This record gives sequence, structure tokens and C-alpha cells, in this order.
Amino acid sequence: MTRHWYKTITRPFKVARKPTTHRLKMRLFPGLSSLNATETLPVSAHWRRIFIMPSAAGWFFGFSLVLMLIASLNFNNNMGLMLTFWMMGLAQVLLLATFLNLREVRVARLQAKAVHAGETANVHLSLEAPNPRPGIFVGWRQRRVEKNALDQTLAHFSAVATVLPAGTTVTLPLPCPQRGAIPVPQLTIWTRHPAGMFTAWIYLRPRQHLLVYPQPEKNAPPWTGPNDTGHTTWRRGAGEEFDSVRPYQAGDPVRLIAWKRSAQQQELVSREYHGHHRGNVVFQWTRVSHLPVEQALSRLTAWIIRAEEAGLNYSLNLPGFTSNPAQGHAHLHQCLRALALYGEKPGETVLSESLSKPSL
Amino acid sequence: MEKNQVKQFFQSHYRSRRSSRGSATALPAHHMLWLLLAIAMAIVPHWRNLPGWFWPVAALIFLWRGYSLGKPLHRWQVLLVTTAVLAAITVSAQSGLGRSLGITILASMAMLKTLETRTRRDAWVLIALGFFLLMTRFLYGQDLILLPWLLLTTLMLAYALLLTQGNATGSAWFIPRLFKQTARYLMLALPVGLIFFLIFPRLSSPIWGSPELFGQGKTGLGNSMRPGSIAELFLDDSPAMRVNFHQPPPASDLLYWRGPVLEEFDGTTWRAHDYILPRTASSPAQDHKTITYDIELEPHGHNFLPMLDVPVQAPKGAFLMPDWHVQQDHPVTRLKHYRGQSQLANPHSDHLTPSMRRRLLSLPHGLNPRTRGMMQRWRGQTPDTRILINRILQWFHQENFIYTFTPPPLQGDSVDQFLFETRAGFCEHYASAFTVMMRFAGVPARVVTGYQGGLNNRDYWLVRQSDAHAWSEVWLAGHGWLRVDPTTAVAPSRVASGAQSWLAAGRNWYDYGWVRGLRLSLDTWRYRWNRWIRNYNTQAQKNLLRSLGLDSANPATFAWLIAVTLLAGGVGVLLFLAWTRTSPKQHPAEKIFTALQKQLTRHGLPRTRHEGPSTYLLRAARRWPGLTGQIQAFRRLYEKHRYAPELRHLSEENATWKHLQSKARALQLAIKKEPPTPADGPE
Repeated sequence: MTRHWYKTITRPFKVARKPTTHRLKMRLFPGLSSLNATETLPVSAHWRRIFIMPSAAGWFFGFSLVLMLIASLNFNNNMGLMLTFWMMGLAQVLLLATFLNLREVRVARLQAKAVHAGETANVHLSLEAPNPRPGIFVGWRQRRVEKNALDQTLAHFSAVATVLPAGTTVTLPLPCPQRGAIPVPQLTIWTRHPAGMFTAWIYLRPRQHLLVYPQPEKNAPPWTGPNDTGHTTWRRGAGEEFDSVRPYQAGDPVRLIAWKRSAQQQELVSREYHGHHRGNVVFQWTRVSHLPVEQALSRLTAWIIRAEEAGLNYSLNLPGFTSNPAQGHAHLHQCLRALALYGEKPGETVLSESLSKPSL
Repeated sequence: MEKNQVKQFFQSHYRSRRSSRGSATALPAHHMLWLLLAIAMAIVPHWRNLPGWFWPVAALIFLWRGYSLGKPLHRWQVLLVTTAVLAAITVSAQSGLGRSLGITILASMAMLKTLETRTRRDAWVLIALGFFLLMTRFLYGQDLILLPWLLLTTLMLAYALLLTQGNATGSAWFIPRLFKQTARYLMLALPVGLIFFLIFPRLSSPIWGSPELFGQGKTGLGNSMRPGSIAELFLDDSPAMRVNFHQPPPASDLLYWRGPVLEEFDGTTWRAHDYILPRTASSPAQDHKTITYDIELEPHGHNFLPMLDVPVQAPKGAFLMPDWHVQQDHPVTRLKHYRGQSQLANPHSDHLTPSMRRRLLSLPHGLNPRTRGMMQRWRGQTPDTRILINRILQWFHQENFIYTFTPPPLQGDSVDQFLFETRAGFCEHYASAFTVMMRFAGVPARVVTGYQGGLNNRDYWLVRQSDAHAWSEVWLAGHGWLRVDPTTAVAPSRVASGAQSWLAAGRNWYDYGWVRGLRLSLDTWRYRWNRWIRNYNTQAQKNLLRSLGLDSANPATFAWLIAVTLLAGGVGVLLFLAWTRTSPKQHPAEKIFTALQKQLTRHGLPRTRHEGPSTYLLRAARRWPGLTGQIQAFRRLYEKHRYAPELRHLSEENATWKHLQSKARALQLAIKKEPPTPADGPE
């Protein structure tokens, strides 16, 4: 059973036939850094994929232990040697304790609401463990050789939590500068608990994409195209000039509720418009095709959002995409997604998502 | 978006790495408190090695830091204090450059670091320093009484480590759970530590530095003696040496342990003559029994090795000097083991060279005229030396002489003052006065310092610093050296039954019989400690490896042993930690249900993530139609126990969770036998 989450996209995972040794490595050591393969969640921190190294504190302690060892050995100081070896034993115990603190931590889900380009998405990771694990850090992978601004900045975001058996959610900010289906960057999950001497970590690249809508154009010119009733403009705002009211139904947008009337009638009522003077706005690609692509998408995005806010019926025509005239949350998302994915090769992206609200 | 735009965007979203990694956040107050306590505990054992100014400064700094837990000093303030401390170190270093300087610098570093300690990073630097400080204490001495302090301080430092570096939750001033965890980790570390202690290759001799750099600055017998120097030792019950006799030991009043022999007198102080060449080998006398014994000598910082009265030959690596004392060519700075052979009486008629005779008769000119007058008179009356000796001892015995460890001070003609005015002294006063008297009488004589007696502590004889003693040796022409102990004339019980026996009142406020008994039993443990731990060395390691059938000359042996220890220890610790993982506390009913669930899973009915226990059990009932009744009964009882514990008493037969357990057991057995209906497809 695969899980599909709100506004995240799963792409089909195509693996070119790799040499046998590579496949063997994949099998034995899944998710090692050299293998940049994406994985389907949930992923558990199996012992074979855990890295462990001394932290800066660990190296410092190691250095002082070596000094202690040399001094004790030189004078054959047995109590000094005993203390030194005891501390070495402690280091070994702490190494294993740190390792065990990360082992079996499971990344169960990854969820994120779609954002517009230029905003920061909040990526929610659900972690689970068979018993409480304090001090589990989650962050975007920090590369030694940082390739670009994205890598540099991502390294600065991290979150820490105590992972409980019932599940713990941590939130990682992910700046999204560009629209489109953005692959989730590689994650590092690490811990230094219980003594900060060692860092145990795993790398993980979930096979998921974040959907980033185009940025709505600021101060976009008003829509001047025709609608199907012949009007060339549309008025902003739902206004008070509605045609009738009907009892509130689950799913009606809040802004459609006629509050004054509801107060009078002692029950919630929704406004009802009849299409005769409002019409259906059709946003057409041809209207903006003279602009650069990104700006065109930006303008369409701004128009669609305005139309939705105004409570109009609207449809969108893009090359390779045509929507029915409608309004509402789901329709808005459908249109914005089409704009976000404009230019993506259709065969490559399989959009499969549920419109149910994320259960966070 | 252009590349530059992307960059700008990220810069606006930039957050400090340090703040997100948590290393720069300040330590909470209770972390700081434990850290300070642990560091103070690591410094305290150095109290003897640190200069006087250190303690008030350290007390001030620690108290201030403890008072203002959250607030470190500003950078320039730290700089100011550091400069002051540095100046103090420089000044105090001029008085005694050397071994304590390093410790002073190290302790000062730790002390000053507490002033600016604020973050996790500061904390680990400080803790590593603490461990190092603790270790350097053992370079000064490895006595057993340090062991409890080592254990306690290690525990505290490790607790501070886990507290400040881990991510354990809890803001209480003391977290018992974390403390227990620390103790557990330390216990787990012990086996590997101990095995490493036994098998790690040792150095047979130091590569750098002389051992005396870290020798023990212990008071004890020295190469000189002035009035009061042995009385000081009398207050010190710490062990001087331990002896194992190969034969039945001689009577206690014959146990004269010879230390430095003092031949030169300047009026107040007796000094040893600096002999250049050792005595050439001499054969033991046939008519006296030779006694063999093993000695474990506590470090005393001098070259001499105490031996029973007249050594037959020096132990290996040491020399028998012309005055019959034994010394080695470097100070005793660590526990020393050697085997001695001695005879109880002087068998030899030594030849006295003219220069030796001159030295043994010389006295400071013009001092002690009354004594000189008396001895010249007596010498005229009794020409026989033996009779003269007896007369002097008789005189000590009959006149009003007192034996005390707190004699009045003497000045100028010290012997005259002692013999005719104060008449109160300790063994060194009597030995000194007697030797001076003999020299005035024209008889070559000298003072011997050492220990007298000892205490039979079951498997060994314990000689303490308080057993320190001084006596005289007189040269008799035709006979040789004769030991004369003038103390016996004044206080016969001192020699007959030990140093403490003649005491009516205690030496100090804590001097009671039971305290002495306690010290004695402590020394038994100390003896074992020395024997098994402190004295473990290359030789002992070689023996151990040989008894295991391993070749200690081969480096590969050590490599293998270390690898095997690390691996076996690691696997052991891993298994232990993994098995004793703290799981969240389960309700007893839940535990029973979990066991049942495992059984059902084994039989092909795993519980899905969305299923509650009730739904799951209903599905199980569908799967095993024959057991429906049983499953339903269990389900009802389980729900009662889990969700309405106050109701379960309504039906008396199901009152306790043991009923639930028996039901679950019966069900588990039944499932084994009962065939399930074919799987009803994926749920």
C-alpha cells in the first residue's frame, strides 16, 4: 500500500540497470551517501546504514585520553592507567549507546503544504521509534563541498526532538525559490545523545516532490479577456447582491456564508448566485503568451487567485491542460498545480494525490 | 528565477548555524552547578601540591560562579583575572620550580575556564580537563584512600558529561534517572577497562622525565636528625613499610630496622657521612642465624633502604655502605619491593681506619662543657667501656628523666641543657646525648636512625612512621660495634611492646584504640591493593600472559588481545544495552494483549495500524469461528481491565488481571490447535 499525501507528488522511480556490485551494495548498505537513490517512506534507520564518528568533543576527549595514557604508561602509574582505560571503556559504551539511540528510528511520513515560489514550505516529518529516543536531529544534508546557494542554506535548517513510540512530528523549513515539482532534498537524521561524544547519522532521500505554485504577480493588470456571457470585466468581491440563500452545506466556503441572514434565521445559510450576470471566466494562455514564460505563469496565478477570492467560476486553458469551469479549493489547487507543472514533460510526472486535509 | 535572485532569497532566509545546532545556547543553571561541583572535586585532591594563594582564589571563584550560575564574566573581566592568576603563578613558581608548577597551571586553567563557561562546548572542554586533573593526582601517589575519591569524582564528571552533552529531558536540580544511567554506563565500561589494564603493553622504564619529578613529598626519616625530628614522625601512623619473614620472626624488641647512620654532629644536628664507596663484599658470620625477609617500602624520597639490624648483603641494585646501611643510587619514589638478609648481632670486628676514628670521636669545639666534665670524671673512675655504658644507662634510669614526644625546646649547649635541666626528651634526645657522652669519654660512637618494632598484621608485619626510632652504636675495641639503646633505660616498654604502648593519653584528639584498629584493618586492604594493583608491572603482566599460555615477547599477542577485548567487550555492551532498553511502561492488561497479538500474528493475522484491540479481536473471532466465545470473553474482560478498572470487581471471578492472563493463555493454546478458516482476503 502506498501513501499519497496532500500536495506531494510521487514520481515513478526509474532505475537504470546498474552493475551487479552496485546492486549488491544497495542491498547491503541501503542509503549510503554514495548511493543517491530515492526511497519510499517509511524508512527505518537500519544498523547497516548508520554512520558513526566522534564529534569535536569526542576528538578532544580522545586527545586528552591519549595524553593521559602516555603519562601513565611512562611512569607505570597504575591508578592513572586504570582511570584512562576505564574512560576508554566508557567511550566504547557511549559509542554503542549513541548508535543504539538512532537505530530503529523510523521516518514514517513526510508532508508539506504546497506553497508559492518565494515562500518557505514547512516540511513535516513523522518519526517513530520502538522506545523513546531523545535528541534526534533532523536536517537537510550538509555537504562538505557546498555546491550552490541552495545547499549552503539548507544546511542551516535543523530541528531536534525526542522521538516517542507514539510518533513525533518535526518541522523543517524548506525555502522554495522556484515553481514546479521540487524533489525533497537529501535529509540527514543524526543524534549525539547521550554524551555528545559521537555523532551517529543516516542519509535519506525520500522519493517525494513538493509542489511549488508560481509566485502570484504583484500588481498584475486586471483580466480583460471575455467571459462566456460576453462581459469583458468582472467585479471584485462577492458583494451583497446575491440572488438567494439556501441552508449551509458542509463544504461551502466561509465567505459564502450570509452572516446577517444566518443571525436572523438562527441557522447558517449560504448565499447563492445564479450565473446569469457573473458568468464564467476563462483564463487563456494565449492572452499572456507574449510574456516570458515565468511571468506569464505568475500573472495567470494572480488572476486565478483573484477569481477564487471573488467567488467566480473560472476555468484555465493551458497548452495540454483544460479545466472545467468551477470554483472552490479543489479547483483552485488543480489550476495552480497545472501552472506549477507547466513545461514538465507529461509522461514523466505522475500526479497522484489525495485532496483530504493532512492529518497533522 | 536568476541565479542571483535565488542567492538573495537564501540570504534573506539565512539563520545562524550555531543557534540552530544548539551549541551556542547557554547551559541551564542546574547543569552549571553540577559541572562546577565535578570540577571542584577533581581539583580538591591536589590540595597538597598547589600553592597557598590558590585556595582562597579558587574558593572565591567557585563560590561566585555557583552564586551567579547563569552569568559568566565578560571577556575583559576574564582577561583581568587570568592576568592576576598568571602573575601569582609566576611569583610562586620562583620559590619552587618543578613538579607542582604543571599542576598549578592545569588547575588554574580549569578554575579560570569556569569563569567564561556558558555553552555546551565550554562544558566538554572543562570536563575533559577535569578528567586530566584527576589523573595527574595519581602521579603524586596511588594510595588506596584515593580510590573512593576517584570513583566518586569520576561518577560526578560523567554525570556532568551526560547532563550537559546529552539531550535528556528534565529540569530538576537532580535527575535520578540520569544519575542511574551514568552509573550503569560506568559499570559497563569497567570490564573492558580492567582487561585493558591487565593486557595493555607496559613500558619497563620511563621514556622521558625522571620519576622523582612526581615523587611523593612525604615526611619520613632523612639523612639528618635534629631534636624533635623523630617526635614529629611519632604522630604519623601512615605505613613506612611492610615485612614478610621467611622464618619465624624474631622477638619484637630485636627488630631494629636500620636506616641512615649519622656520624657527624654540629651541636644540634646529626648528619650522615657521605661515603663514596660501598663496602666490599663480606661473608656472613657462621655462628649467627641469617634471617631472610621481603620488604615493601612506601616511597620516602631518599636513597636508603631500611634493613633489619645488620645486613649480610645488599638487595639487587643497592649497595651496602661501610656504616652498614643500605642505599640505592636513586630516591625511592614509588613502591619498592626487595628481599633482605640480615643477622641480629654484629658478627664482624670491623677495622677502624684512623680517619674514621677521628670522625667518630669529633665533637663541636667548646660546646656542652658540663657533660664533658662529667664524662672525663666518669671515665677516670671506670676505665672499662662496658661498665661505663652501664653506668650511664643506670644514671638515665635512676635520675628523673622523662620520655615524652613533646619535649621542651633546646638551645645552645643542647646536650648540657637536656642532661641537667630539662631531662625530658624523645628517643633522638637520648640517642644523641648518649653518643655525645661516649665521644667525650673517648669511645667512637654514632647515632643510628631507623624503625623499631612493628605490628604483626596477620599475613605481614606493618612498620609505621610512628615506629621511627634512634639509637646508638658504640665501638668496642676487640669486639666491634655494639648497639646501645638508651631509650630502654628510660622507657623500657617502648622497645618491648611498641611505640604506642607507653602512652597513657592519646597523642591527639582522634587517637583512640578503635581508630588505630580501623587504620590497621585499612592497612590490610592497602597491602592487598599494593600487592595486586599498584605493583602490577611488566613482570606481573608477563607472568599473567604466560599462565594463559601466551607469548608476551610477541607484539602480535598484544594486538590480538586488544582486538579481541574490544570486540568481545563491544558485543557484550551492545547486547546488554539493546536488551535492557527502557521501554515505556505498559499496562499489565496491555502486556497480556501484546503477547496474544504476537501469537495471532504468528498464525497469519497481523494487526493493522488502524485497528484498535477490539476490532482486531473481532476479526480474530471471524478467523477462528470455533473460538468465538473464548475470544469474545477475553475481549470483554480486557476492555473492562483496560478502560474501566473500577468495574472489574463487579464480577468476582474476574477480579484480578491474573484471570485475564489465564484466559489469554488458554486462548493461545487453543489457537495452536484450532485450524483457522481460509484467510479472508486482505482487510
